[in-house]
Amino acid sequence: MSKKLLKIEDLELSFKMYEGLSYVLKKINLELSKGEKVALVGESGSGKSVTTKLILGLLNQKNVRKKGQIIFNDKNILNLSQKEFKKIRGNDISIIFQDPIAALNPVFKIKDQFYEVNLNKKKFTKKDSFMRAAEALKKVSIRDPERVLESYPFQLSGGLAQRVIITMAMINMPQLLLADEPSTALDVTIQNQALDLMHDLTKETNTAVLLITHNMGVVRKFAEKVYVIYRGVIVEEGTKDQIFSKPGHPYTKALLSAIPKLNSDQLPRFDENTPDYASIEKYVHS
Amino acid sequence: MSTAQYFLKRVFVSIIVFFGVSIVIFCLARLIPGDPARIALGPFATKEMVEQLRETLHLNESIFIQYKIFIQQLFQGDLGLSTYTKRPVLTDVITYFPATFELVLMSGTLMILIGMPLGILSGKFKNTFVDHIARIISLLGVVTPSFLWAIILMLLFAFWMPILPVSERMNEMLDPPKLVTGLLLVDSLIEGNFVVFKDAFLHLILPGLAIAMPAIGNVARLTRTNLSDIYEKQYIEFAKSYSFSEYKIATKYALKPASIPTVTIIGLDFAFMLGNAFLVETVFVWPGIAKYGVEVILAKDLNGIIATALIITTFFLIINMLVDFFVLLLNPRITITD
Amino acid sequence: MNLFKSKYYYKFSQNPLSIFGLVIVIGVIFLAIFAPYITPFPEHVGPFTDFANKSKPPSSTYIFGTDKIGRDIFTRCIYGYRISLTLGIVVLAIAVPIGVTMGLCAGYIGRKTELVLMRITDVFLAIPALVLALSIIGLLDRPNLFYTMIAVSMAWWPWYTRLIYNITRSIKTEGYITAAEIMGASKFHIMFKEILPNCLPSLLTKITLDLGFVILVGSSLSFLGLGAQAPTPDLGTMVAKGASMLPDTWWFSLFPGFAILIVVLGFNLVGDGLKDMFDVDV
Repeated sequence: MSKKLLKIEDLELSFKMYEGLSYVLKKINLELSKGEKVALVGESGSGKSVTTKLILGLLNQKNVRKKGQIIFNDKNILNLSQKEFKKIRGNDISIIFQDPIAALNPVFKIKDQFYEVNLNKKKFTKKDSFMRAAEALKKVSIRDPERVLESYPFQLSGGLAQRVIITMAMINMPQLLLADEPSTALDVTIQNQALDLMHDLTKETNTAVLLITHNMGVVRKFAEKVYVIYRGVIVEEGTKDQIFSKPGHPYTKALLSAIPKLNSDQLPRFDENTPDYASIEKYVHS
Repeated sequence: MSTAQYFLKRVFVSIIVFFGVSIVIFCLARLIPGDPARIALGPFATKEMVEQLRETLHLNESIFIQYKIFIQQLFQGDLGLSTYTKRPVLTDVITYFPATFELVLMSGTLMILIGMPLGILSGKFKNTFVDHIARIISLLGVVTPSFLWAIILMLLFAFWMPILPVSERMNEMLDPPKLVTGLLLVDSLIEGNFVVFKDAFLHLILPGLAIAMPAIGNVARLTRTNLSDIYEKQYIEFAKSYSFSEYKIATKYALKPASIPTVTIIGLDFAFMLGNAFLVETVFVWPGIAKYGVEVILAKDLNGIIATALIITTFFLIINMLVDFFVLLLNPRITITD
Repeated sequence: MNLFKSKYYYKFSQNPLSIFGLVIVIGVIFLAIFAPYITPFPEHVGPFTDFANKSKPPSSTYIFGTDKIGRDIFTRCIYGYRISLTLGIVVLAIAVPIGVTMGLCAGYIGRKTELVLMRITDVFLAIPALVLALSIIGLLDRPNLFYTMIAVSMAWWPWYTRLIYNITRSIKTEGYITAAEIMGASKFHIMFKEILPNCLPSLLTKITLDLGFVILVGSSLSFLGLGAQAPTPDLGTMVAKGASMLPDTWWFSLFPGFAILIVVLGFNLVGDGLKDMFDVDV
């Protein structure tokens, strides 16, 4: 068993609200090896997005309560100082968001945003940064990278923008890539392109990927290992084959049946009134 | 469309608006009940005198001819004779406009130099003590009439803390610099006369502040809102995730997109401040076109009123154009088409 | 209607300043309506002189002191609120219908109507409000409160046109508008019964804020001597009369001045609360 790149142990997250404590994550356990592609699947509100925020140290408001450990490269980064995080973000760990155009500042050119990302590696001049970015874009078969770099975000199509973002994320060859619903905002036809690009780039640099999604089709295409999260708890984990062929937990079954089948004539339902599955032992494939 | 095309379009629109404004002001002057000649001459003038004035002012012609004459004279630089100062109105305008121009420029500078940082502080330290103090100041600025600010400032600095002057443009003991632009700050610098420069500058502070206070409050509030809206945006989260320097985010990355709606408001606030100038110039006895405007209104001087309204409006139109160009610089979306 | 009150009122009351503003506004309205019964010297409002008690500083009898001819300033301030509120209401009662109608027509009917109406609006918006009001009053023969109301209305309506125009344009293409058109609804019906109700949150917020600002502009005009004339107790006029006698008789100007400040503050706070409650931008 290879050494674990990322190990989340008994992670708990709660917010102190006016009405009391609101538990978003209850005892999350998750492991990633070097270069492994892992999917974290769940619906909106299940807590998958906040997990990425915690890994990057972006949840620091006064009313946030964190417990447990996030061990990255043998170091617990859960309560690291912002200064320390600065070395990690954009360098060892990168992130991709759902809406590529919204992730880019509309009044700055693409080359300026690449400049800031490049600065995480070392102090580039603007000219060197431009060339480095152009090289990277060329490698991912973006024709005419100079024109793209001189453009503003609103001039790019959604698919092109996402490819630019993915390039930005990978340019410093991070050890871990967090992908938060990377293809959800894209056309179905473009989705594959983005996912293929992610696959190729991360294979080359042996970057581990934590893919957050609610789309089981994306999981099947991309992931090696799967964690299913429901209401802040991991309810099932296993390899892709295990999950898809023999799903154990009822929630996983419901997610799988939500993949549109050409011959079905009914939408799947997951009954919200069933007992709290969080209290039932989770299903682990051995 | 390119920058040049946009520029031309804006100028064209402004010219049309200018003509529209001239029509409105002109019509107001001619269509309002009452005989302008009689009003100007007062109740004791004889019928012949009134008739003579009517002829001079072309009041018996049709309204279209009157407007045509008006525009012709306007472009010849003839703004008519002021029944109040007994001089050509153009002379009055040239004499008094620079004072107001300088004052409004000072107000505008104060509005930006105090209002924006106040708003930025508020937005950055939202819901903290700093934010609350700044918001109270902004609120008081917005709800207090300019003339009250003028009075309060005057009380504070003329009587209780006499460190700033409260009337006129400069100390009457000093000799004014040679007249070049009419702007004391510029003229004194041209001469290298720093004593007068300092004196004129000090005289500008209190009236400038009185005019600017409501605008400062407004700009601060809006900057705060715009900034905190931007902070919620995804690209700021992206920037943080990629450890863009915090300082850069606060000063450049978030500020630039937030400036766009703010600059637009600054343009509108100039209109507000131009109105306030009428009040403040009166209180501080500032020899500007606004004080002149108030006097000609009280004296029912038709030509004076029309000229004042036109000048102030033109000033505002030019400021608006400048603001639009500034927004152009900030927002690439306007000129770039694909 | 009760439901509306509970859900929206909760959001409004989240901000204590909004409640404070509401208290001020209700207080001012109450004072204005019941002025004759609450004020100590209602007869000081009309022609009245009492030179024995002139220019007295604030005391227990004369809470805000007396003016140059012995009238109680406190009483006159309260009556001044009557004038301010009347001004605010009348000005908006004129400006809002004009502006809203023009905005609806320009936004919905479009084409030539839109072009003409919005160009006219742009011209009026190019003239700073106070300047326009001053020009209008200046050209009328004798300044008084009525002329002030007319002048300020003329300066105010374009802002409503622009607001309603923008909203109309954005909801013109909504499904329920198209549905009404298909069902053969008249343009009048669509504008006033379909589009206008959707403008109400922004409209109400703006009206509330404007009540304060109209009073501000109105008092500025009176300050210059172009509003209500003596002996009417107009707040702006009172500040002006006292301005030449600073600082010894500071109460001549400061109390009426603060009276203006308070009423504008009240409407402003309530307006801001409505802004948060309805989540609009005016």
